[in-house]
Amino acid sequence: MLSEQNLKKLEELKKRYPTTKALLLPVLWMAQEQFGWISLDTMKYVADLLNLPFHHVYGVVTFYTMFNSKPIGKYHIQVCTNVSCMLRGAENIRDHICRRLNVGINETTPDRTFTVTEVECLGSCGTAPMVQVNNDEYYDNLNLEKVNKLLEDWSKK
Amino acid sequence: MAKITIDGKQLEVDNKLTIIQVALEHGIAIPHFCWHPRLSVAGNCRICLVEVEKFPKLVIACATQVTDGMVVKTNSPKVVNAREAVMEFLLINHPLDCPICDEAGECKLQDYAYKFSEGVSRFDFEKVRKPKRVELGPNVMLDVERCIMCSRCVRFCDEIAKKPQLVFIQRADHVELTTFPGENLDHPYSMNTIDLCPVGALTSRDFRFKARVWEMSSTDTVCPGCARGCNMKMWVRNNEVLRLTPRYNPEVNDYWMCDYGRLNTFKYVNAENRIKAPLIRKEGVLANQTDSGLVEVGWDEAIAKVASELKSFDEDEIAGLCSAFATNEDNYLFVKLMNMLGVKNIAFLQHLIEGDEDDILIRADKTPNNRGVREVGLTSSINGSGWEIILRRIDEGTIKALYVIDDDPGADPRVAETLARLDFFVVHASNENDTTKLADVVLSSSTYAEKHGTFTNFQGRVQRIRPAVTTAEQDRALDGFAMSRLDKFGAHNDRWMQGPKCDARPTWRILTCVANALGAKWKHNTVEDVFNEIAATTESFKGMSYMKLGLRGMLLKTKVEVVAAPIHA
Repeated sequence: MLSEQNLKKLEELKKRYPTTKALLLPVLWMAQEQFGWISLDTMKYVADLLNLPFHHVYGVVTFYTMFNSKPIGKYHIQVCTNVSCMLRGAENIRDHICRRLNVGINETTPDRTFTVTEVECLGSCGTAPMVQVNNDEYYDNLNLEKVNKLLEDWSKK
Repeated sequence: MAKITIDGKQLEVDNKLTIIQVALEHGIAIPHFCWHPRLSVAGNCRICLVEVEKFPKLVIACATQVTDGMVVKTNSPKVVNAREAVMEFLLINHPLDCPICDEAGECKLQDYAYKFSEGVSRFDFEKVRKPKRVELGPNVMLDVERCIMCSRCVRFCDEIAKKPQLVFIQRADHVELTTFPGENLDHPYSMNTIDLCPVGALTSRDFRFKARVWEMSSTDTVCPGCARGCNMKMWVRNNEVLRLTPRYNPEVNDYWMCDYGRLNTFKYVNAENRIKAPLIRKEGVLANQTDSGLVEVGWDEAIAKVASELKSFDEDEIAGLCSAFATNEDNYLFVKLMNMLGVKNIAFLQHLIEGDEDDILIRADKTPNNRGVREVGLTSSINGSGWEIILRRIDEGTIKALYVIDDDPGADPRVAETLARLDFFVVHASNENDTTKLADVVLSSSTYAEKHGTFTNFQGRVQRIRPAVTTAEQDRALDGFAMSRLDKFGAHNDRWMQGPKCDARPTWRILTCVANALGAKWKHNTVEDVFNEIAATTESFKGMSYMKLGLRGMLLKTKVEVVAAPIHA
């Protein structure tokens, strides 16, 4: 169930989109913000909410990589390994994070704190290498010390 | 209207049409995978690219409307190059398993690879691996690796069957066709996706690995599964029906047919319980649990027996049951025979399954010729004695003999009890059933797959059926059957040339024999003679002939619904 607040937001959004099909992306985004990820049940719920076939919602969720169809940790660390970041040592950073947290790519730590994924360019090439955490926090100009510091801070929180 | 030029051909066409529609209408082939005349335009396969003068880039013919003055080239070097490039992309991840793929021989990808592709791959990485042998539903098997993502099946389920059950998930070269988790592709029209699939991704679980398509002959006929009469092709190898596929008829079934018709209307033709020759109950041969007490005899003996028995009863002691499963010709001659004998007690059974119908194809009436029986026989001959009355009179002992063609009244145990009281009971049947167990004479009749004839569907459309399976007295080559390469070039001792044949005859022919044994001088040498007689004597069939019926059939002259005599199943 979407929260009271989100449902209110949905009513607002409905005015801005011509069809419920077009409304699907913002609603899924809302659902992901609220639940952290999008389960099959959530997809069914959203499909009913917008009067769309389940299948269509399923297709959309799997199409966009930024919709998580598996549960993720509190901190979703997205390491960019595209050209600029790679040239500035992104692969080292990626391997370092994985080693420290003792997880592989696309895996979540057992305490559900961290999930590590590898992503394509996030448009921060001038300050490479970088990682994005959750939906909008960028951490750039990284080196191993900075990464250690960040991980420690997050573990404490 | 728009004046356009395609490949130098000047055409004047409706400007609401797209290039591909215009081209196909005028016999210019533009290759296409995802486009289908009855589905929405997806435009994702890109193989139908054509060059249009003054357009900066090639356009897809399926999504480009014609405009006045358009000059289209479908075979310019640019187009040929683009096609080759599209084919190269499509083939990058396509498995090279044509030798074990059911689609091979009728595969668009394979055909186009021969026609438009270079025949060499520059791709030397490992192909993407995806799930194989996915049971999408009870009737359809999916091989995701073979899929070229044309989305015809998805659109069919959404738009025609109105049961959205298929979807693409993931993206780019990871795209997979699937159903929603925990759901099946199980709507009544699911197998049409197999015909639509331009590659071997969707295959029939029933037909899988049964035969290569070029080994089979295909015969244009009509489905007897319900009163719709979907036009279809019957595919035969070794005198055995292996599959049925829909045949285009815009007036009846368009491009589709239902799964029920496709799977259930041919199995009994091949079945073990076929009656392979005429059977007679002889004195001294006792019925027991394994043996119904019937003995195989020759046609002359069986027909002589029927004739002499029928002669020994008064006209009021005999009753007849026509059949909505039999053809117009069969029913016409049956009624004619009954009239000749003076028999007034004639009826036929309806086979309705209330509620089992929809707005697409499926009809509640599960017989192919209900309308036809009323049209050719019963209304003109019957004096109102329905089946219930006949049964009552058998119970009372006033009706002592019954002649049944191609139906199974004994399936109802209550009726079977009554039928057991008859002094003489003759049945035309193709398969053993509850009725044949009770009969004194069983005349082995051809199924709809073994004879010519016509059915009249619920719209009043008279449509031809054609034989695809041979009986003992027929020969594929001499009798003008559809022939596969195997049939044409195989020798008699080759594999798949020696399929079993039943000593069966079409009902119309058996009836002619019986009538002539009773002293009539019927001169129906072929079933066409019978049809011509119907056309000459029955108002609603006036002007029809087999030639005119052709592949699409013709509507009866009368559109007025004929009121049937009180008839009950």
